[in-house]
Amino acid sequence: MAQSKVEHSVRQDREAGGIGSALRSVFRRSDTSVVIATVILFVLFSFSNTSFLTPFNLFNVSRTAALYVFVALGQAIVIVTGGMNLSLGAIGGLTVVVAGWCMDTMGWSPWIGVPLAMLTGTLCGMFNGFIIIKSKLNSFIVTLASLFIFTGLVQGISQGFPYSNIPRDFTILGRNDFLGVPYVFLFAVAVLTALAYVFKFRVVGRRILATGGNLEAARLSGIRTDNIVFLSHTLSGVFAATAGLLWVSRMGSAQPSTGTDWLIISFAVAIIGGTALNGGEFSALGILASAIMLTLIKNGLIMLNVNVYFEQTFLGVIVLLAVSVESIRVALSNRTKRTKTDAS
Amino acid sequence: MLQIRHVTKSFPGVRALDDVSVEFAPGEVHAIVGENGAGKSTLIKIICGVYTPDDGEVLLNGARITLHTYKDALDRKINLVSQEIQIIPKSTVAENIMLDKLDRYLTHGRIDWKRINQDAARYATMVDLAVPVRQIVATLSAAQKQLIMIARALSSDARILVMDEPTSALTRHETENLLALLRRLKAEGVTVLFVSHKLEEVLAVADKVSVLRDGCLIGTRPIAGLTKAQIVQMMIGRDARTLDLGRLKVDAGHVALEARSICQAGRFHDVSFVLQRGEILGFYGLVGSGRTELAQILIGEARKDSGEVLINDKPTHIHSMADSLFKYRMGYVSENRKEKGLILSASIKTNVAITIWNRLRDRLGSIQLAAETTAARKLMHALEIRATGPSQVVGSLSGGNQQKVSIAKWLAAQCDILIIDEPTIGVDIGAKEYIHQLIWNLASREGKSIILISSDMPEIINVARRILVFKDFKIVGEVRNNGEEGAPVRGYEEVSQEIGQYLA
Amino acid sequence: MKQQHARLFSWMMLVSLMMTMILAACAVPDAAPVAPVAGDAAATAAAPAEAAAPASNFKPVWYAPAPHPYYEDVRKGVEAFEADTGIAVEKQIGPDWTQDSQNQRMEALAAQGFNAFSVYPADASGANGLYEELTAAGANIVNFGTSTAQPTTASFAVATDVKVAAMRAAEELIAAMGGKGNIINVLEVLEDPNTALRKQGIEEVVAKYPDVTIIQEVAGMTSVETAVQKVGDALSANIDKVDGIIATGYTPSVAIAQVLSEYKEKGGERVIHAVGIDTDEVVMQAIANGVMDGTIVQNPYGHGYLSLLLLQYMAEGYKPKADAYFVDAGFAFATKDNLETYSEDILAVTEQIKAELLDKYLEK
Ligand SMILES: Nc1ncnc2c1ncn2[C@@H]1O[C@H](COP(=O)(O)OP(=O)(O)OP(=O)(O)O)[C@@H](O)[C@H]1O
Ligand SMILES: [Mg+2]
Repeated sequence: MAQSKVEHSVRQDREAGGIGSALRSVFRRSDTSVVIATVILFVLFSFSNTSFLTPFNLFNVSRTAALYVFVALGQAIVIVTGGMNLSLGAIGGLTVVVAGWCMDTMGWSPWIGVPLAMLTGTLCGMFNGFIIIKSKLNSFIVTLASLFIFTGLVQGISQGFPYSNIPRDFTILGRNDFLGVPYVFLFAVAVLTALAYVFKFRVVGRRILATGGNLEAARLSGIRTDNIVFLSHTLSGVFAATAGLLWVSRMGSAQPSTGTDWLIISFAVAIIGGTALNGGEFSALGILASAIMLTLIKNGLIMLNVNVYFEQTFLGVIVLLAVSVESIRVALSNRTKRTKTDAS
Repeated sequence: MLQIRHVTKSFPGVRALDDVSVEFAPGEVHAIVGENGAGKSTLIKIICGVYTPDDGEVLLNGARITLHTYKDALDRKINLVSQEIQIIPKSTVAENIMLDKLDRYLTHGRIDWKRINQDAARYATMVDLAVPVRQIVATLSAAQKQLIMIARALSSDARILVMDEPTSALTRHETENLLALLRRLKAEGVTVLFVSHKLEEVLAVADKVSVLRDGCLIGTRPIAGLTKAQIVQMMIGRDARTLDLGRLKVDAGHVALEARSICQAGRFHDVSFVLQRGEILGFYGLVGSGRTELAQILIGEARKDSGEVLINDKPTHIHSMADSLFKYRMGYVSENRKEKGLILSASIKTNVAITIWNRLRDRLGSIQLAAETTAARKLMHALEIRATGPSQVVGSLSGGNQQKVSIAKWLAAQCDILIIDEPTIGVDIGAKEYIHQLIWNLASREGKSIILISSDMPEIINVARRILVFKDFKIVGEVRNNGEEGAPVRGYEEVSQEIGQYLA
Repeated sequence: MKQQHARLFSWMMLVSLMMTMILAACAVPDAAPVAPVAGDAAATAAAPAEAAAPASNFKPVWYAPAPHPYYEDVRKGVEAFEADTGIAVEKQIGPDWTQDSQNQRMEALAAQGFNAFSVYPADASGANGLYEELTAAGANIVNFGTSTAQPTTASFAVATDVKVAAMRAAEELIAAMGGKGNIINVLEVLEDPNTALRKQGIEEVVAKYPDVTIIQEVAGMTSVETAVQKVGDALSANIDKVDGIIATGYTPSVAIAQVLSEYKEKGGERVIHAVGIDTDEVVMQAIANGVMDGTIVQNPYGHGYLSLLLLQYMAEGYKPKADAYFVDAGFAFATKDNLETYSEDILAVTEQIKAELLDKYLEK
C-alpha cells in the first residue's frame, strides 16, 4: 500500500510528458480519434466485402448503433457528473418486463404499457439519485445495491419467461425506416442533437458539466449539485428505459434477459466516445461515432468470417487501434518534426 | 553546482522559457522572481524532471543530466516543494511527510510506523507545524498542508531544495520560521531555489536573485545592495506605484449584513458583527483562527447551531451557496482555488461565467456564446490574465493567473455582498496592486459591501477600513482604520501595532 | 457525536449478527433430527445392505441456478415425480448463473439435512468442487440438463445428447433445403464445452452432403441482444447466398426466429430455411408462421422426473453400474405439422426410459 501511495504522489508531480499523459490525452480528446477511426473502418469494410454496403446491412448496423447510443447515454449522463450507474442494464430489464407484463399478460395497449414502463425506468433512476444524495454514498455502491434489487424484480416478475404477445403496432418504431434509415437511428440522432444543444447552450447542461468537473467548486459557485446529481440519475433511468423499450420494439417480444450485457457496452461506447471518466466532458458526436464504430467492428468481423473462437481478440485489437488513431498521428507528426529539426 | 544552459520550453501557444541560463552554487539561497506566467514554475519543473526542456541542458557538478521523472531528481537529491499542494487527504500527517521514503522504514518487510511517526514529528516541529502527526490531513488548512509539503522535502536531506512559492499560504510567523530554517540549511551547504512574489522575503533571505519576464531571463544579481524597487523594475519593466487608497466613504446608516450571536458547537460561541453597506471589513487572524469557518456559516456551507444572519435588516434562510448567491446576492471567493474555486479541466470562459449563465440567456433561454466570451474577455483584460484566450483550460494557467480567474468569476457575478478569502495568494506585485484597487473600487464606486479575509497584514491594512481580529474562533478586537472624518487614514505602523496587541 | 453513533451502531450490528448465528446453529439440528453431515455418512457406511432405507432418509432437492423458462418445464417433471411418489422435493431456483451462488445455497441446503440433489451445474467444471464436498458428506448428486466435466462425483447426468441432437437438427435442415445449399451455423456460448460437440455434429453431417457448405459461423452470444445483432450481421453478410441457418442453443434460436420474422415481414424474398432448439414462444410462433422449419424439443420433463427417480433408487440402496453415467433423455423434433402432438411424443420418450432405468443404469 505504501508503495502505491508513493507512486501516486510521483505521478501527481508529473503534470505532463511521458506515457501516462499520452494515455490520458487519448482518453480525454478521443472523440476526434473515434470519428476518424469510424470513417476509416467504414471505407475499409466497404472495400473488403460486397455485402457491406447493401441496404439490409446498413439498416442493421445503424439500428444496432442507435440502440447502443441509448444504452451509452444512460451511462454517459451519470459519468459526466462524476458518477456511474451499474444498475443501468437492470433498469432496462425491468422496463422491458413491465412493458411485457402490461402488453402481454394484461393485454393493455402500448399507449398504457409504454408510459408505465417509462415511468418505471424513471422511478428507478430517481431511486438511485435519491439514495446517493441523501446517503452521501458513492454512486458505485448505491447502484451496485440497486442492481441486485432491480435484477431481483426482473426475475421475480418474469420468472425468466419472455413476453411474446407484443402488439404489432409497437414494432413500427423498432423495425421500420424512413428512406432506408431506421426510425430508431433518426431518433438517436435527434436525441443526441438535443443533448449536444443542452450541454452547449442550456444552463442545466452547463451545470451538469460543471458538477462533473469539480463538484465542490460547482457547489461553491451556486449550483445545487444535489439536484444535478439527482437529475442525472433520473435521466439515466429514462435513457435505460428508452433503450429497453426500443429493444422490445425491435424484437417484437419482451425478453427479461435484456440489459444483462449493457454494463460493458455502456461504458465502452461512452468512454471511447470522449466522455471523460472522471466527469465534466461530454461529446454527442463522439458517442454516435463510437456506437457506430463498435457496431461496425462487430459487423465487419462477421463479414470477414473470422474464426469465432478468436473474435474477441480481434475486436480488442481493432478497438485499441481505433482509439489510438489520434495519438498515433500526433506521435508520427512529432517524430517527423524532430527529424526535420535534427537535420537542419 | 547546478547549471541551466540555454533552456527553452514551449507549450501550445506560449513560449514559457526562452534561452534561459542560470547557475546555482552550493550554500546559496537563490531567489527566482517574475510576474505571473513569467515561467518560474516551468523552470523549476525542468530542474526537477517534471518537464523535459525542448532545447538546452541541465548540468549537475559539471556533468550533463537528463531527468525524465521527478524520481530521477530525487535520486540526485534534488527535492521540490511545488506550488500546488500535493498531499494525500485521507492519510495522516506523518504518512504525508514520509511519503516518498516509506521504504526506508522497512524492517523485515514491515513498515515501522512508530519510527515513522517519531521522525515525522521531528520534521513537523522543524517547520513549526503544531498538529499531531497521526491526524488525518483532509481537514487541515492550506497553510498546514503547505508546511507538511515543506517538511516532506526537508526530511529527505536534499542537497538542492527547490521551493515554488512556499510562503504564499503561510502567515508571518510561519514564514519567519521558514526563512530561519532556510538560513540554517544554507549554512549546511544546501542549494536553495526559492520562488516568491513577496520581495521582502527575497531581500531577507536570498543571496542572489534571478528575474524572469515573459520566459526570458532579465538578469541574475547579488542581493547585496539591491532594493525592492530595483527588483520590481526588473520584473515589470517599470517602477511600482505606491498605492494609497485613502479614506473610504461608508454608508453608515445602512447595515448590509449582520451576524447575531452565531454559535456552532465546539467552535463559535456567540459571535456577532456588522457589515455596513459600501464597507470593506477585514477579517485578520492567524491561520486556523476561524475566519474561513465563519464565512462558511454565512454562505450556508456550514451549519450554525444558533444565531441569526440578517441581510438588509431582514432575517435570512441560507442553506447553500445557491441560496446565498441567488436569493441574497452574496458571493464567496474561496481561499482554495484548486479544490473549491475552479474547475481546472474547464475553460476560463466556463469558470468565469458559471455564476451568470442565467443572465446570459437569450429570449429562448439559450446561453449566448458570444456574450459569454465577451464577458470572459473583458475580465481577462481587466485582470491581465495571461492566457492564449478565453477557451484555454484553467488547469494549464500559471498559479497566479488561476487565482485571477477565481476572482474574475465573482466579479462577474456582481454580488452586493462579497466575501473574499485570501485573494492574492500567489499573485504578482502588479496584479496584487490591481486586485486591491479593484476591491476598493467595488466598495467605493459601486457601493458593494465586502468582507476581506487575509493573513497578509499589509494587504489588510491597506485595503480594509475596519478590521476584526480573530483568535481561536472568537473576535478578540476591532481596529478602526479609516480615521476621523476629514483626517488622513491611520498609518501602517500604528494599525499593525494595535492588531498585534489583540493577538498577544 | 456522529462518530459515537456510528460506533454504537456497528456494535449493535455485530451483536445482532452473533445472535443470528447462534440461533441458526441451534435451529439446524432442530430442523434435521438426523445429524446432517457426518451422521449421514455414518449411516450409509454402517448399513449399506439394509433394504429400503426409511423414506425419511431421502431428502431430495431440485436446484436450478436462475430463473429460465427451461427450468419451469423441468419443474413440471419434478412435480409429476412428487405426485407419483408422494415424496416432497425441495425446489430451489437461485439468483444468478454464478457457481459461487450455487455453492453457497447448496451448502446451506446440505447443512439443513438434504442429501440428494438434482442439479443443473452453473459451471461445468466449477461445480465439481461443490459436488466433491457434498458426496464426501454422503449425499448423492445427479446432473440434469447438462453434464459436469469428467471426472465428477455426480452419479448421473440426465440430459440431451447434444451431439446427436445437433446432428438431427442438421439432417432436418438439409432435408428442408433439398439436400443442397449454403448454411450459416450459429453457435451459442464458446465457454461451454458442449458447443464444440454441437459444432462437430453439424460439421459431420454436412460433410456427408457434397452440395452443402457451411459458409459462415457466428458465436459468442450471452444475451438475446447480442444474438439478434450477430444473426442479423451474419444474414446480411450472406444475404445473396444463404439457404439455411441452424442454431443449437436457446438464445440464438430466439434470435433467428426474430430476425427471420422481421426479414419476411419486410418483404425479404430469399427462401431461408431455419432450424433451432427449444420451445420458446417466439420460436414456436415462427414455426407456426412458416418462418422456421422446426426445432429440437428437448425433454425437460424427463430431465426433472428421471433425475429424481435415479436419486430415489440410490436412496433405496441401488448403485450406478460400473460404466453407467450418461442418461440420454432423448428429444423430439417439432415442425409445423406436429405442433399439437410433439409434447405427447416427448412424454412417451420419458415413459420408455423410465421403464428401462433400473436395468440399464443401476444395480444393487
Ligand atoms: N502544462 C501547460 N500547458 C500549457 N501551458 C502551460 C502549461 N504550464 C505552463 N503553461 C504556460 O506557461 C507560462 C508560464 O507558466 P509558469 O507556470 O511557469 O508561470 P509562473 O512564472 O510560475 O507564474 P505564477 O507566478 O503565476 O505561478 C504561462 O503562460 C502558462 O500559461
Ligand atoms: Mg508558478
